[in-house]
Amino acid sequence: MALRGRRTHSRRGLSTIVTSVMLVAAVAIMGSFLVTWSNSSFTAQRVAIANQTDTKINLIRESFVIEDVWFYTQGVQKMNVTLRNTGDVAIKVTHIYINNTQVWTGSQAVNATKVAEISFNKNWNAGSPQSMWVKTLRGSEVKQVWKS
Amino acid sequence: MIIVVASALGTTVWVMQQQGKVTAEIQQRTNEYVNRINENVEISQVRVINNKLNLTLYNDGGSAAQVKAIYIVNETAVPKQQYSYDIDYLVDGRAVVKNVGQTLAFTAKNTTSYTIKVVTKSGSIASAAYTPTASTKLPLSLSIIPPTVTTGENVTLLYSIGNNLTGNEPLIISPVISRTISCPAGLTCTATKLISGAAKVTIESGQFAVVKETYKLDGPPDMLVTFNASFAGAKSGNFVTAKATMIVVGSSQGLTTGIATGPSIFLIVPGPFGDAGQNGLWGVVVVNPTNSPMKVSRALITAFTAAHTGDTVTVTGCSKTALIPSTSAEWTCPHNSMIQWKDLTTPETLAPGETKSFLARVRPGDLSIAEEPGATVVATVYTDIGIFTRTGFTTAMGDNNNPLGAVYLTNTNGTGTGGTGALNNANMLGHKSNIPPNSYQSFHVAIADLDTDSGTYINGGLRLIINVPPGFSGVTVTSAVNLGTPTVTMRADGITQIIATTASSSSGRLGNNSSGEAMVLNFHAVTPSPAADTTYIMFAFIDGLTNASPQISAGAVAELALEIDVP
Repeated sequence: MALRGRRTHSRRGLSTIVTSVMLVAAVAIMGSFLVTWSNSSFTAQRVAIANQTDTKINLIRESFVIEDVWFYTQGVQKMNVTLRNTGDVAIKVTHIYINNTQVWTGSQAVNATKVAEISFNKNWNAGSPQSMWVKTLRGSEVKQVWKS
Repeated sequence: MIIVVASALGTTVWVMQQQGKVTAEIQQRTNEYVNRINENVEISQVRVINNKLNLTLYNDGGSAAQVKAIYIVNETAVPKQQYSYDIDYLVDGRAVVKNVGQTLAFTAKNTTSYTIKVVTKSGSIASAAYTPTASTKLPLSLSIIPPTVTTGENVTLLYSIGNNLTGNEPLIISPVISRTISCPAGLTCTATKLISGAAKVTIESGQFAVVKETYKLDGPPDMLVTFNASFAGAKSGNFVTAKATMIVVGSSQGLTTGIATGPSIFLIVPGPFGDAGQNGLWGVVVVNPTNSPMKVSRALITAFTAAHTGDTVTVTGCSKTALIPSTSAEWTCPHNSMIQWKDLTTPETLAPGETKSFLARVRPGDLSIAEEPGATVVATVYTDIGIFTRTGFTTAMGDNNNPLGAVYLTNTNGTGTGGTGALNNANMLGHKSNIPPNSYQSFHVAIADLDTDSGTYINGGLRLIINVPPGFSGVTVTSAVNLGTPTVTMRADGITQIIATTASSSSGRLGNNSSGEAMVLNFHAVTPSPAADTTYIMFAFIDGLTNASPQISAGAVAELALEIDVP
């Protein structure tokens, strides 16, 4: 039997156990980071969504009508717009347009179920149609035509 | 990973819940819109009671409506004034709430126009107008049927009132119809209300009401009655007028009551009218064709001659014999060529549809010329509704003895020599009354020479022509002594014409004896059957020549009234 040459092998490096521990540790670190990040992110999103939802709900709950428009002259020609809040949240009227021209801007609050009047100077011709456009802070709007 | 997945799922569920909240809110808002759509508030009535507005609200929808505000605009004020009040009325679906506005501090007037608007809690708006009748003109119309009337006739007024006010309660109107009469001076005119219209009428918005009234008008022609129709509390100038005018309808044959304003006048005219020493026959036959009694106070016959003033048909204070009416003092000849019957104290009264004859025998006047071939005859009748005249007839006269030709209705068949029965004044008639319709009747028409001079007469060959009016049928001559063989002919116009001709020889002369002479034609006929009392006029006349020189035409005429009285 022929004698083969003998090779000598070195047994250096990480053991399987160490490697496993390292991998577990890495995964744990990454998982913790992921959980932390996702929680933070989800929380922020929930806040944002909650705000958006509230805004939308309030917008939906807004409801008002132009109850009356009185055209009169008191030295100058004027108009008196009576708004009735028919919703169940308070509203803030911010703009009034007549015939697509802004005639009044401000912040007139009208509590739920209540009435508010807004007066302003505006020239009008008797018997003419006046297109009224009223907007609230939340963006609700009502458009009606009244005869002066 | 499990934690991450759980968190993600948790977030997803939460987001869905948020979406659900939005959806729920949208659903709630949608429901509110639906409810708003389902509430349909109307102002069904607007009234002013005790100086307060009084509204009736009706919710035509299925959802209850809460009325929260009312706006009142005074449309009468200048400039317009607006008032607004908070109110709180719950109007259930399909329900009515009354007396809204009675508690407001607002004082309303029933002479002012208002616009009222109510607003519900959900924003629905209803409005209505209150327009009092005192501040607006209602559409009115007035019709008079017929617009032209004859005295004694009724007129019917149809007065319509429209309610053109919207939003108001039904109008309760008190119609007012007045009348003014324009009457010719000195005469009497009346407009008597026979049927009154409703004292009050209720008119729904957009509807009309018609009020009917009936008046009886009495008066002379040209009487004018102006009816003015309005209503209590009407705005100034809100009225309507219509006029009824009294007219005259000319005389005609076949007269039924109610078609004429004045009397129908017919004549009996002699021809020739002498001259002679006896009295000729004159007559006026008056028919009252109106629906009212008529009083006749005078009947005049005037015969005009164009000859010089010395020629007179009759003379002042003439010799005369009163026949009908028989009171001699009522008959006079007030001046030349005029014969008058007059009774101002107790005038003759003719009932509606009644006929009266005014007959007298009067002595001729005198001519200074040989012949007056055309003296125009005019009859005038004074009544309580005016004075009326009839023309269109002529008589002839000769100087120095001529016959007194006459034709008339008599109540005898003329038996006896010379038709002596018909020569009796009591048997001379101008009309026949109370004739039943559709009955077999005898009629006697006489021609006569009423003078007693046997030397004056109407030559033989004279003709008696009788036009029996349309409607009479079965005309049959029963006897006609000395009148030859009469012919009976039905003409195209419905008249049955009888023509009797005397012999051309001396036997056919009329009046050639000293007692006067009459010839009577007797005939039968079946009377008409009119729907109402009707007077028919039978026209009879003589066509001949006298024996005098120059010869005078014998053309006596008579319009004889036959009064059919329907039971």
